[in-house]
Amino acid sequence: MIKFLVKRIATAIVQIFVVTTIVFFALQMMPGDPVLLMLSRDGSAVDQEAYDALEAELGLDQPVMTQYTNWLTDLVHGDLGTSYGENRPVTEAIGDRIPRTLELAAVSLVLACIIGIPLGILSAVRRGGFLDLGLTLLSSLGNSVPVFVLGYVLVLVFSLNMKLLPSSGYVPVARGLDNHIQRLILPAVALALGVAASILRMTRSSMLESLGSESVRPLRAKGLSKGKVYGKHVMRNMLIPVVTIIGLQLGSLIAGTVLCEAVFNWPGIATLLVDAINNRDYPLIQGCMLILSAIFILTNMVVDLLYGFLDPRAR
Amino acid sequence: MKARKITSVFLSLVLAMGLLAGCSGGSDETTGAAGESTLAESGGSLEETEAADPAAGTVDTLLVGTSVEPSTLDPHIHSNVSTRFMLQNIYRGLVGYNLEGEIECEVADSYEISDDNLTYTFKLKDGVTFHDGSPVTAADVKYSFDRIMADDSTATYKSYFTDAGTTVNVVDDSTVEFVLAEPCAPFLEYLSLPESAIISQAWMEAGNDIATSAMGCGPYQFVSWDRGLQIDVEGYDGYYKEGLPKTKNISFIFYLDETTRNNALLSGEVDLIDYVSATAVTQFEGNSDVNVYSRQGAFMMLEFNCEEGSPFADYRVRQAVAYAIDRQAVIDTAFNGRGEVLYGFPTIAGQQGYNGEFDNYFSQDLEKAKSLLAEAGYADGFSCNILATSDYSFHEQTALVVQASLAEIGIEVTADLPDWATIFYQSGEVRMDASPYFADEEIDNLLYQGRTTLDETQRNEIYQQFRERALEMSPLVFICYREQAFVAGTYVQNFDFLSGVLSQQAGICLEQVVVNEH
Repeated sequence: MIKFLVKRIATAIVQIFVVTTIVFFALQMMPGDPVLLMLSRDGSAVDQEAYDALEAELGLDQPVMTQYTNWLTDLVHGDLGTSYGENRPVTEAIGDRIPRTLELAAVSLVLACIIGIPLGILSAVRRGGFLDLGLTLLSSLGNSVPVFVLGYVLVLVFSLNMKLLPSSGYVPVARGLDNHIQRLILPAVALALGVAASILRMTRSSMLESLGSESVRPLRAKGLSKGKVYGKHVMRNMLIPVVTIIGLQLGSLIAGTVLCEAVFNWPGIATLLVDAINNRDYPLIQGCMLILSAIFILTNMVVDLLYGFLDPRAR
Repeated sequence: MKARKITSVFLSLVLAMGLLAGCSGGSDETTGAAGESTLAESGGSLEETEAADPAAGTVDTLLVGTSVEPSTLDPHIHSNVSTRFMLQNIYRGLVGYNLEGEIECEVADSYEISDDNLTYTFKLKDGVTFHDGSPVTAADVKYSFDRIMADDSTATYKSYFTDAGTTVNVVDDSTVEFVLAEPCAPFLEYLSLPESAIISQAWMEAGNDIATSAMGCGPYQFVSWDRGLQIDVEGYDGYYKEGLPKTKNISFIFYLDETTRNNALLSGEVDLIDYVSATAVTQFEGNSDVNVYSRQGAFMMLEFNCEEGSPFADYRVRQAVAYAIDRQAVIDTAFNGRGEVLYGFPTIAGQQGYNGEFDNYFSQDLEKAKSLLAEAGYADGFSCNILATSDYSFHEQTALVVQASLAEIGIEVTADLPDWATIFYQSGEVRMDASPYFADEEIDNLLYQGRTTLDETQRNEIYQQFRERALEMSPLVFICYREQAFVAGTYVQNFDFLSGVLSQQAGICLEQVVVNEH
């Protein structure tokens, strides 16, 4: 078990390193010049002296390899550099934003599980019925409608027409918990529905598989009650693929936040990253990518570990 | 400079912020529920308590949805119109434009211009204070302009002041003089720019960061900047205009996505939004819950790379382009039919002695365009690139219409539409503030004369000659005016702004805006 753990953690670290390296060099290839952008937003002429001075200040006059090793050295010391645009440490800028994104993603995920798992079970139990058919239809729809379309539809219905919820925005908890939660509902639902659809389908099919498996059928024959068979044996078998799909969905959940944050004006890390890219704010882009890829890779690692825990053969 | 060598000939299309001073008046009153104005004016003095008083029927906070989050709060840098809109509430200069488009005193009490037009002496108002309560002195004024003109300054309008050879002298605590090396007719207009803001020397020297915080002497003081979210300002009790500001607090909430911004207004998340596109304006106009404030704004134009050897180095080719572009199609495609064609020079009649003479200097005339091309030796046309951005759909669509128009006279245009940040990189050494490599002694001469001639009649004549020469040489081809629009709930009162260049100074009116209960 320990060996398995160490192996997985080591792989995760190597993965993160590879991703950040690719991001670093991809940035070098990306057209655009942060120094020009900082000195003149409208494209007017830039004083060469001011340009050289700022370029040197940002360390962009150094060879790419030097910049890379500098970045790595700082990274090892926990320093992600200073954002050009925000004029403060990248860790601070990300620290402000990441809790908001994680909150949105976590609430969505919980919501997706609450919706997806019970409906999946229901669908499997009532296999072939109208309910099953309806849920299958809905889940196909939920899977194929993009977050931003769903987001705008939710705004149109619940905010503009029914005037039940605010259309967008973010209010810190300190300025009112109710205001905070009101603005969390629509983006969380928009983000959750797609994931819930995937969870529903996976729960349904793995439940069916589990119900029909040779290990389960004799249990009923043996005289165990329906509830005991479902609750204890079927559930356990069923959970393995569901845990996997939840883990994998985390990736699309984080990707979905980019659009969701834009549609609902939710000031999380995704909007920070988009701004950073528009400003060619290299340290901030690298910092965001590092954190986002770390979250992605680490959750996958946790899923792997959980998997190993649920199914010893996977260790 | 990290720049790709430009080998291809290109035209670049940019949004122009015309530098020719603004026009005045003309904007109609668009106040909403005029019947309810028992507010503010009656009270006379507006202490902070009044705004909070429910009996007055007003709300103490104005929520503004702005299209950008500032990259810096430095008032000497003009980074974009939305940031300026916000900063104009915190900072003020010696003089500024009022809502009639006239220059009037702000921090200055009065000013005198010497007979030789080289010395401008300003007397400061008594009791003008920064938001920390310290008085605004002549030394602060000098400090501000020295900062703008410093060698390492990145101030947007640095060259305006350095070119005029400005020196700032402190005469006494409340008197400051600007001495110029040569007469400069638009000098007061320079001082009226929002970027000629007065900053506090003591506050700066205490090591505060002017890019992320603020200390001015305007109607509102800076409270906080919650990154990615909003900037809050609060009315300053010691503001030098009695009874202002009328609304106690303003929150500028960043709504970068246009649809989300529009929805936020409709659902009441914000009271006022900026940068409303032509399509959205059409939709808002049918809605009785909101007021649309639309004015003629900036104009669209083409710049050329006039490098030696490029077809565009020949003025006849540039004129051919001017004759070929279907301007109405640009307005219809890019601006939903809202805008005004520009077949002449972007000066509005009545402005700087312009009588409208050149309004139809060009027309859409493909035959003439073709013959001009033939004269220049390009009877069979040529190919080139046009650079615009896909970040803003109206830029992209304008470029595509230009592409189609030029195809009709045999110029094959490849549209290059990267994101905003890449545009500058692709234009590389060639910057966008004027058609690169274009040089004309006569134009330079006329511009210099215009700046240094103080007699208005003479100056108007010089500018008239300049306009004619500029159209003949066509280093820039003007396409159309687009509108600048704000939309607010009908409960927002007294919001107003000017058209033309001054549409970019809408921030001055927020101090008198009242938000009724809704």
